[in-house]
Amino acid sequence: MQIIKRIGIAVMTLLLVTGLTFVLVHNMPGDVFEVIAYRIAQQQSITYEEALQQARAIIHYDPNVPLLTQFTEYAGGLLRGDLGKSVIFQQPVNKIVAEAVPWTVFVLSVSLLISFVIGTLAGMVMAWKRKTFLDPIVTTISSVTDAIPDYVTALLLMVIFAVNLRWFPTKGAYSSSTIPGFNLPFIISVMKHGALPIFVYILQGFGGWALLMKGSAVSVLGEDYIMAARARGLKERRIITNYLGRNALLPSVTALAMSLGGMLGGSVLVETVYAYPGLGWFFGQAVSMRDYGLMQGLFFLTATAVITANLLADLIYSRLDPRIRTGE
Amino acid sequence: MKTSWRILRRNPRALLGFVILLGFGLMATIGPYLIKLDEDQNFAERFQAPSLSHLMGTDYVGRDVFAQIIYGSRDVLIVAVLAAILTILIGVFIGAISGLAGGPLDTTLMMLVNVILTVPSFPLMLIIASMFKVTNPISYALLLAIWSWGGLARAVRSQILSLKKREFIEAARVLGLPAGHIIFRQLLPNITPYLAINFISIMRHAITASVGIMMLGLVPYSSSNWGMMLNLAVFQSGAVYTPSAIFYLLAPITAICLFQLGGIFFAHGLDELMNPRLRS
Amino acid sequence: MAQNTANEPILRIRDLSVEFTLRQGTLRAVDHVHLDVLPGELLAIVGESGSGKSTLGYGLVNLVSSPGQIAGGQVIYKNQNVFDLSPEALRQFRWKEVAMVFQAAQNAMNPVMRIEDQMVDTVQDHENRPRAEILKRATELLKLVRLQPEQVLKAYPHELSGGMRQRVIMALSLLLNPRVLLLDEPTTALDVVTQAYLLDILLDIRAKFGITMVFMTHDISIVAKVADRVAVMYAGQIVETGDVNEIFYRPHHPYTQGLIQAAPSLVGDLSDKRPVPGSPPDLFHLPTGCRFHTRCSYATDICRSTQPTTTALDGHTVACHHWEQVLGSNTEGSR
Repeated sequence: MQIIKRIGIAVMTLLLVTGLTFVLVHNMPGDVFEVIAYRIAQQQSITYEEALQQARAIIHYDPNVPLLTQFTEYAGGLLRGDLGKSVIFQQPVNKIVAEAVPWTVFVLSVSLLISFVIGTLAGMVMAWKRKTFLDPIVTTISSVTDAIPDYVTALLLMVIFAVNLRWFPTKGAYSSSTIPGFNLPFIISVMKHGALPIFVYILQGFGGWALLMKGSAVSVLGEDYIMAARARGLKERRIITNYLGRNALLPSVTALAMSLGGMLGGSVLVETVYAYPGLGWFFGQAVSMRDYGLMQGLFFLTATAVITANLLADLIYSRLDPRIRTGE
Repeated sequence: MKTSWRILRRNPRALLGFVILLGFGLMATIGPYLIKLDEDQNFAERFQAPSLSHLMGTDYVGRDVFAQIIYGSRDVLIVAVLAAILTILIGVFIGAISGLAGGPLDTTLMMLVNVILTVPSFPLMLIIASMFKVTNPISYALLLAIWSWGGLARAVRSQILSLKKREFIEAARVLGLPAGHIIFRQLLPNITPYLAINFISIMRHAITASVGIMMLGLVPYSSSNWGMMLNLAVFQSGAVYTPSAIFYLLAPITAICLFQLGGIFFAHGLDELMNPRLRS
Repeated sequence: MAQNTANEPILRIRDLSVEFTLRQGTLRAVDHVHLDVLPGELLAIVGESGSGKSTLGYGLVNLVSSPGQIAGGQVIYKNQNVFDLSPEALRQFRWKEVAMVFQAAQNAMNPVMRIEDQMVDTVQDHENRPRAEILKRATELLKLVRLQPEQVLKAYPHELSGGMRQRVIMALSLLLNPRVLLLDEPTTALDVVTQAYLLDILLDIRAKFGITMVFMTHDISIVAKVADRVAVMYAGQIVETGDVNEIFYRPHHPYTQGLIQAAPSLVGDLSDKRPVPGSPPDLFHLPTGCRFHTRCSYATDICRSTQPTTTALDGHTVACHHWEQVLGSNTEGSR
């Protein structure tokens, strides 16, 4: 029952978001719209009126049809998987997405995996061993990365490692001299190109995971059942994994889903700095070039991803914590 | 007041944070009167290193960077403060209504908050910025605030809900006193510390977001803004690839990071001030 | 009544002290405690909150955690000092030889694991037994504490009521057949009816397994009901020990006398009741001499200057300068 309710909320949220973007795009100030039409006219060497029609079609704007119908058409298209068309790239958004998604997924998942695992382990150790050398290191890294926005980290790393030290390339997802496929030169090239963005995300995220886990673990350690577990003569390893670990990890699971939203948002600037052709870069391009078709499509995709992730996290959490399952 | 001073003194980091913030505040308010913006473009003097005449070097057309930072601070801080005020106003308002009214209104508002918290705010702000021309700090602040009040609304609402449950509300009802009035009077002293700490935190996020948005060139209403400086440096003047331009690039970066650091440190101190349990 | 099968104490507590190092100073929660626990008996350690009885319990299984620490003394079980055990030996010792049931065991179980899994964990970390066998024994024990095994075993802790959880912990404590069971305030936070029920169960267990039990409680009425011997604790020290009837009808220590006179009962006049005047001492600023003298009607100069030594009488000990006076003042026919 709970599951149905949550899925329902997720769907509603998605609907609201879609409606929101639709309404926003429709209510664009007129002069902005004119600029788009002009540009299309120039790009394709067609008349202004034809360009205007095209522009309207892109955002599903038809003054002769009621707004609701337009929205239904748009939503229908989305359900069929049609994300719209991009003006500047002159391609369906779906095609762009197919090219861009692998890169973003690659970078985000690798960095999330590394920063989550290392950060969480560090947090556990800090909580279990009380005063270790990790404490000042982690706290410092965390404060510093809190203060530095992700794009700044991206810039700094770029300047130091790519431009000055030349250890890494400065743009693209792979070197054009390699051939895409399962060959070593390509894989190495991909690694080298993705290294700096991945490093940026890891730096930004590590501190957060560590401190989250530390706080959670410290609080669990203060609970009666840990002391009781020791009194029961349970093996230390079992206490750490089943008693401390399983309870302390719970907040991190929720945070995992939320962090996806943050990372996707941050990817716009990070990928732009590195000219890394993932979803974020394309979104950045769409925004600066006022390509509303691409913007809408990508935004919808992002929102869907985040909402789905949150839903999954909710469901997984309720499987992990029996108190939530039966309660409420 | 005296307690605050004492705590600040005992916690050197909070004191440092306070000094930094104060410094920026001064920079923003009186800075522009003391230093004139360098308008002459002299290509030969581009990307110079810091010197006595140009404390932070020069930009890509030879203008003084230090002056730009100072002028930029005014824009950045005004927008941040306005954004924080707006966010708090909206958040408290919606949270209060939701908590006090309860029922279907509460449920609807909380669904809205859920949407706001789930959907990534930065992309949405970019979309809005690309559509609606932002020409002054107030509309920029509005743009920043519009998707940021979710967490605050939730917190205010849960405070109200917990106040509602307390026994004195029952007592008040029995006596025939208006419960809403009482809740409000109890609410304010309880959430003021939370709001104070959050004010700085919201400001920090606003700065990060506003600079980021400007870096993409979307809000070009003032060219000496730190974000605009970054945009010019990174995307338009190739400063990233020019070794000597490192100072031009670092100037806005340092300014941003320094401010954020000051905010974080000071917020820690405020936290201790409001929450005696945290005092070591 | 007492079922002393042998005279050799099963637990010998010698000169045990536990200290807490806090910002205000160092506090001695347990001060040079000397106590014997005889096999098969139910010993009640009675004291107000803050008297140190819980800490004493933790000390017995070396479970005192920072900022507290063992400051001296020995706990001898089967000719071995518990404090000398290696970490692995200590781990095995816990629960298998001596099991401790905490106060308010509401939160004593892992919230994300089923009861049956926690039972299996407990056994398998001590002995290598198959799961089915463990669950069989768990079922028997749950029945013993009057719970329904089918319902309880598959449940999570939060699905059970407080009283039920308490009983589950008790069943859990018997899993490895310990020789000694320590119970810290097992019935506090429960209503009177459940209390009586629980005590009944405990006596059942004792009758069936012959386990030695040590109760730590502040509730005199429980003591009267179940104990064989009583040890009275005040401000970290044992002030009197003895057979339960002796303690109740012929207390030797003013504090014991005060406790008994203060205990209300359902029968009788409340006007007879007199609380012990004053309040427990601040453990950072203990009175000089005898710790009880500030609240004692028998106090004289020697009480204010010198700590009393423990006098051992036949099966009875007392630490008071004027115990004979106290003994003599016990009126005939006092319950």
